[in-house]
Amino acid sequence: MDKHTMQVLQDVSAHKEAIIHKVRQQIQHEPVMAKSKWIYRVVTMMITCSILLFIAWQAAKPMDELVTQDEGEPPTFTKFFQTEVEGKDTAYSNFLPLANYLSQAKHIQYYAPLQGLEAMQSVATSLEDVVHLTDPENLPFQPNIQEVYAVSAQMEDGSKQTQFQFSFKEKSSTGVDLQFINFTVTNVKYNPLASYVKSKNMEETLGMNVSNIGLNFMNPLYYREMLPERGYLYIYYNYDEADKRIYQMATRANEFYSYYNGYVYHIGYQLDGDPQEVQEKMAILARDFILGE
Amino acid sequence: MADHEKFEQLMAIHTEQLFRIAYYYTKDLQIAEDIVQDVFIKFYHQKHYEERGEMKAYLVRMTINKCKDYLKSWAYRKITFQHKFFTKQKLILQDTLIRQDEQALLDDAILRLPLKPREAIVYFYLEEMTIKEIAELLAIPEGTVKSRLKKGKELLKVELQHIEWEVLFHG
Repeated sequence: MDKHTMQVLQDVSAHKEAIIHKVRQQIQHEPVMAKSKWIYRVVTMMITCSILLFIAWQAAKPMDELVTQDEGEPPTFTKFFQTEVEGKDTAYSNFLPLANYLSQAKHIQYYAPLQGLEAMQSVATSLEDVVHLTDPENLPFQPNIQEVYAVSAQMEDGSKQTQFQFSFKEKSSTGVDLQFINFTVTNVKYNPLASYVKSKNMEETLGMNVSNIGLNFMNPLYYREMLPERGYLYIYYNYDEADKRIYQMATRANEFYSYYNGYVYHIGYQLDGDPQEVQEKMAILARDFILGE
Repeated sequence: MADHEKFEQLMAIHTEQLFRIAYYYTKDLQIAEDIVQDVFIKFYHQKHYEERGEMKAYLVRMTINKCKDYLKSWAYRKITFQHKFFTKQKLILQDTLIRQDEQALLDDAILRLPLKPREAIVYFYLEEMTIKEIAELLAIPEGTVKSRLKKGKELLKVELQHIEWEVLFHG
């Protein structure tokens, strides 16, 4: 049998020359090519490492995860709050059911509030980076009462929760809170805002006006304006010195609400002055209190 | 002998055969050229390869793999599509002319075979490789090579009913 060769392949010398010529040309450019490939590899490696480092950093410092770490639980507050007093129920916001997380609390312990800025600063310092106490001079009013409350509770899921309320108040001689700002911070096991979706229908039905003014680029800071015609309760702690008991003061207030690094921040205020100007100042104070910026 | 000289010698020896093999798969002279060129450049960069008497088989395998990659590629499918729908009329005319040349007709019939029987036919009849060599090259059992050869011949017989080609009918 003779070897069969396809007609088109009978003389391939021209193709052979072309191939060898092209290969030689390519190889002559090879050092330059190799150098550029090396640069690409280095750049790719650097980008990959940066992304991995960013992911690792994010994992190490969770900003808005569903489950927070136990480190959110402040262990040393009893060093300051040594006098246990009577009390009933816990403070919460009526407009955001999310803030009512403490309603699950069992075995609640109430402590006599500590008076004065120095005591407030000591407690704030013990909480490390959780709160950043505002200098009273920066407040939009002159408080005559500065106090800090602590309420601790055992939750249904077994976690321990402590709520601190840093209060600046202008109290009348008859004991009425004429103006006030309460910064309340509570350690929580779950982020209550993770499943929160603002419902426009709900807002329209209930006449609420909730807006997200943003804590930072990742976390929300919700704001609800107090409406004179609506009776949404804002409840905060007050202290009856005579009876040695903590009671809930129910009133109306403008409220900020946020979650950051394992803590729920709830800030309520009722202040005189232009509502818009006050709201702008309070938004800055709220962010400062949470982030310390 | 310097590496560069060895490489030049290698190209001088193997280019023609690799080009033919690439053509059997791609049926396109220009693509076959490009594939063989790529094979040599890739080989040049694989400085770790040491010649142990398997150079030819190694290069052929590289060529086959590159051809199969090309046949799976979008570029090839696009060309096939264009060929099918835009040059149908031209092909009919060409076919008529080719029928005048039995050898060209046979070439055309081989290239029209499905890939697996085509591989067996071209390596056995055109490259004169043994069944064992084909089996090693394609990493398939010898029995499979034989059955693919048989199927290839049957398909060619159907295609070339009116032509008496001794290899096919008596091989």
